[in-house]
Amino acid sequence: MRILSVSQVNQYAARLLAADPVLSSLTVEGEISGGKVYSSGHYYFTLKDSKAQISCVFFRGAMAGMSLKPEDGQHVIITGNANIYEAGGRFQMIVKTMEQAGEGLIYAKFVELRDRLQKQGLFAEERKKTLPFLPGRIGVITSPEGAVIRDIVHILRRRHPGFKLRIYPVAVQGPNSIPDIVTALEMANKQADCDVLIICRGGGSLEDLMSFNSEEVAMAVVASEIPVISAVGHETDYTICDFVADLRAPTPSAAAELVLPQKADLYKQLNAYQGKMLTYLTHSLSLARTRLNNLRNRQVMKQPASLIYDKVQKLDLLNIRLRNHFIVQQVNVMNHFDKLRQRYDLAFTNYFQICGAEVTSLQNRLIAGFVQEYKESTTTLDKLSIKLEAFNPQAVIKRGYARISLADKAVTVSSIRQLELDMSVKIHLADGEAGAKVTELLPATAEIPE
Amino acid sequence: MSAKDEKMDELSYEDAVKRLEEIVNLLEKGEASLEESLDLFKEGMALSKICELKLAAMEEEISKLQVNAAGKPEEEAVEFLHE
Repeated sequence: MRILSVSQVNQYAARLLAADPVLSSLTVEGEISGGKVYSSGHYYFTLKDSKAQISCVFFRGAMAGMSLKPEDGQHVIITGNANIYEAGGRFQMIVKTMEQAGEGLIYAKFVELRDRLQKQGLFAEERKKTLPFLPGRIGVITSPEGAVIRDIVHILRRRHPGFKLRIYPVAVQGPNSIPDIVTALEMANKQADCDVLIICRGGGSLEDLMSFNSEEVAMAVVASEIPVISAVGHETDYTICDFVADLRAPTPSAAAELVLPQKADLYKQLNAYQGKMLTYLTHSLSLARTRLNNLRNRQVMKQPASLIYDKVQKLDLLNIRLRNHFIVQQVNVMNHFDKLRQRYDLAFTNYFQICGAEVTSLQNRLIAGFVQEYKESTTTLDKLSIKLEAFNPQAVIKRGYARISLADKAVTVSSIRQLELDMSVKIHLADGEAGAKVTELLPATAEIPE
Repeated sequence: MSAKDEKMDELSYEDAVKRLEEIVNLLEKGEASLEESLDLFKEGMALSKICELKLAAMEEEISKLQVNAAGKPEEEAVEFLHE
């Protein structure tokens, strides 16, 4: 048998532990006790359960990244590896990470549920209902006491006076929390007079928020017909309820600000719209008015007479053209006439000359003939006049006869039938006239030939 | 009013002003006979009066609308539902 030194034994044991697959990578759950941070910054404590304990060492380097502040009595889960502290021959664990046990356990469950629901597509965006722009009534599922509901009401009062809100009081942690929330959700959906629901609570540990990571609450939220806003815990806390809700608000106050628009903004917008409508309306009206006025000012409407002027002018123009036409015609005719006349003259003069010659020759002959004729006729005339002279009543009168005529001197009386008793007659003598009245009518015995 | 006038009243503003424009253009072209021009002119005057009336009515309407645009105050309703 070989005799070993103590350090050899410890070394051997240490090598055994390091080689062991389990002991070299452990995850252990237990309660901290006797924790002490040495000046070196390393943290020595023992981890115990109801029957046993292990001493552990959490070197400063590994501890640096951890948010959790380890305290005695805390239930934690640590990861690390087991080894032998050779000098002391003590079996111990070198801790790599530490997290709260409850938290760890819960967290694990949280992750498991989250992944499962995610796979079922319950977190999908398309599934999320759109929130009403102006919810008539807001249902708030939260604890009736505490700052949360007070803040919400305060914020709503500031942003949107005249809001309607109904509180569904529930336990936000502890055993009753899950059933309370599920019932509240069901009741809200049954009443169906809330347009949006807010599930919310203040900050808390993973354990405090546990009910909001429960499957029951998640499924109740999924089943809700009414859109759900989830505002659970601090900004950094994400719960299953947040994932399945239709909207996640980082905090309850944020939820209050998201759920209702600022009333003042609405009024401002309304006024802006009113203003715009008014401007557009008045603008189009003024356009219409200008258009109408333009039409009315158009010449034909303002001075209808201009239509007549137009016609009158046309008429005048026509007259002028008519007259010109006429003048032109006249001129034409005249020209035509002149031309004709010229031609005529020309022709005439030619003809005239020809005729002239003929005429003169005829004239001569005529004259000659005439002269001849004249001569003859004068001689016959002489003869006749001599004869005539004989018959000339004047000559007869000269020889002592008289011409009797009616009173008007024109008609010479040649028969007593022309006379009547008392008729006045005129007696024409060579050297004058005398007036007489018929005193007696004695027809002659022999008829005087008419 | 003759049937034509009644029909004219039912005209929308746009139709009335469009017809008025038509008439003015026709008269300006001067192709219409004298009698036609006179009739057109009379129709134009009637239309222009109707348009004027419609515009005035609209303007009055708008000012009325402006007056009662003020909002009303609201009360709050916070109710507690106890299971």
